[in-house]
Amino acid sequence: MIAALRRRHRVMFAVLAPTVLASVVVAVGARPDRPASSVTPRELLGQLPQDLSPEPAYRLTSGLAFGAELRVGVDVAFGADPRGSRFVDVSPHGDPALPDVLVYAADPSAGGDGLPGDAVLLGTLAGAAPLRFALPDGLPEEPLILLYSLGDQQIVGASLVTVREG
Amino acid sequence: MGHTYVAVGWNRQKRIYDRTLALAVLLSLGVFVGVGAALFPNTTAETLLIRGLGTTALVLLHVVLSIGPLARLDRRFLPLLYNRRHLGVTMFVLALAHGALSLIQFHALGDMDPLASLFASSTHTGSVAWFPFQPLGFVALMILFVMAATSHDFWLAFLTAPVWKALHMLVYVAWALLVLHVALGSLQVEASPVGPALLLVGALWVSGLHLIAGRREAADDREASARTDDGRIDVGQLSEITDGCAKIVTVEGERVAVFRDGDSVFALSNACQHQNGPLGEGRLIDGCVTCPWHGYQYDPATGRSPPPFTEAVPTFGVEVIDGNVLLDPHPRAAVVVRGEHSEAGT
Repeated sequence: MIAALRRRHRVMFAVLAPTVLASVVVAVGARPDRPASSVTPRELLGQLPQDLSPEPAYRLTSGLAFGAELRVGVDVAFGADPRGSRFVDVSPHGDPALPDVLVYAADPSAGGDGLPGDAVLLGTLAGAAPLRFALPDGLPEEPLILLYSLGDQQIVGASLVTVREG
Repeated sequence: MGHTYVAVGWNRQKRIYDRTLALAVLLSLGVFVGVGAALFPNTTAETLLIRGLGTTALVLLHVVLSIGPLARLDRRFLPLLYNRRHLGVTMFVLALAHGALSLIQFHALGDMDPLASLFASSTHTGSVAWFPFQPLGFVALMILFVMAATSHDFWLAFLTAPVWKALHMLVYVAWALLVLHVALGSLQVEASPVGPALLLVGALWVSGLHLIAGRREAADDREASARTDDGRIDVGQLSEITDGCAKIVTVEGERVAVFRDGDSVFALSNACQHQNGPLGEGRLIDGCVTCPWHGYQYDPATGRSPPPFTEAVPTFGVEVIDGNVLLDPHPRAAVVVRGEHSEAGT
């Protein structure tokens, strides 16, 4: 019986070792050029792109207007991969130094001072790290991107002018 | 049930071991949270704690998985096997805290059941960046729970060592799932090469140790012993066996430990009844074969543990003819003593 367990151990590692090592190498090698948001909102279920593409088919670049609380610039760039899956890259120039900054997308025609009721949560910022967020269907080609500090309970930034590149 | 529960018997060594372990865990968490807060001042305490608990648990899992093969490759690591289960249970508690806090942080604030949300929040198995990595961690945590819950000797005796060990070999599956959980999870949201490098080194370390140890064991299993005309195993010269120690031979795939005690020899199964530890790598202490893993003892002549203990292992007939040790490959309860030859087991 003990010999059987030794054989099982050998078989398990003969399978697991190459599988795990290859998977780690593939996972690390396939990391997107910019990290993806780890938060996938429930509203996006079934609508996310199947994969990230390092070369988007098009890119729209926006500046970001920021309120008094947001002391760093943030670049916002929209894009889509060749299969048409849309995303937005949010790149802070530095650490926003604000508590729990959430990234929302909303219809630009939405009015009001607060967070629009139909705004879609895309994910959270992670300090100064540039992040890529998937955009769900149903939003305009170039939605309004809002940065909302959950800790301060206020909008701290909103996307503005758009320039089409490439 | 035929087995009764007996509470863990704490002794000085176990207390020292557990205090050291608790200090190491607290130190690891403190350093992780402290350094993390200094480098990333806007990271919330919850996030730091979740990451710190997960990282400490993963490091501990790698330590746990290294002890077995290291002890097989070098006897100096044998003491680490003692109380290894304390490391395993501690690792599970840390992993459970990591999982529970993650569930609260990321899934408990919406209008969906948190567990349902964990499995439903991403269905993109075709995407590396958005692969549903959290279910991998959940399944691994369930495996670790079963192992922690059955870590007491009651379950070892109730399930029997072979079944218990087979169950606990699921830890290798849990390890694989957790490495993937990290590779497809936290590593996808950071650009630093440090995390991937550490994860890869850890995976290489554990894989390499187990493959090397497994290969050595396979070579020992294949080693065929010579047989005499009457079917007995030719163990070799008695003088080749160090007094108080054993020579291990393979009999039809299983191992038998042939011990020498002065001019006497004894043979018994190499598998300790407790956790199937290698009795043949132990020594004769106070006249008893003593398992190197946890110190379980057996009378070499009868294979029975001294009273009040009730464990027993099969013994084998063995005798010495002209200085050559011959082993009967069929297990039995007593040792035959034959006339004019040197007595076996006396």
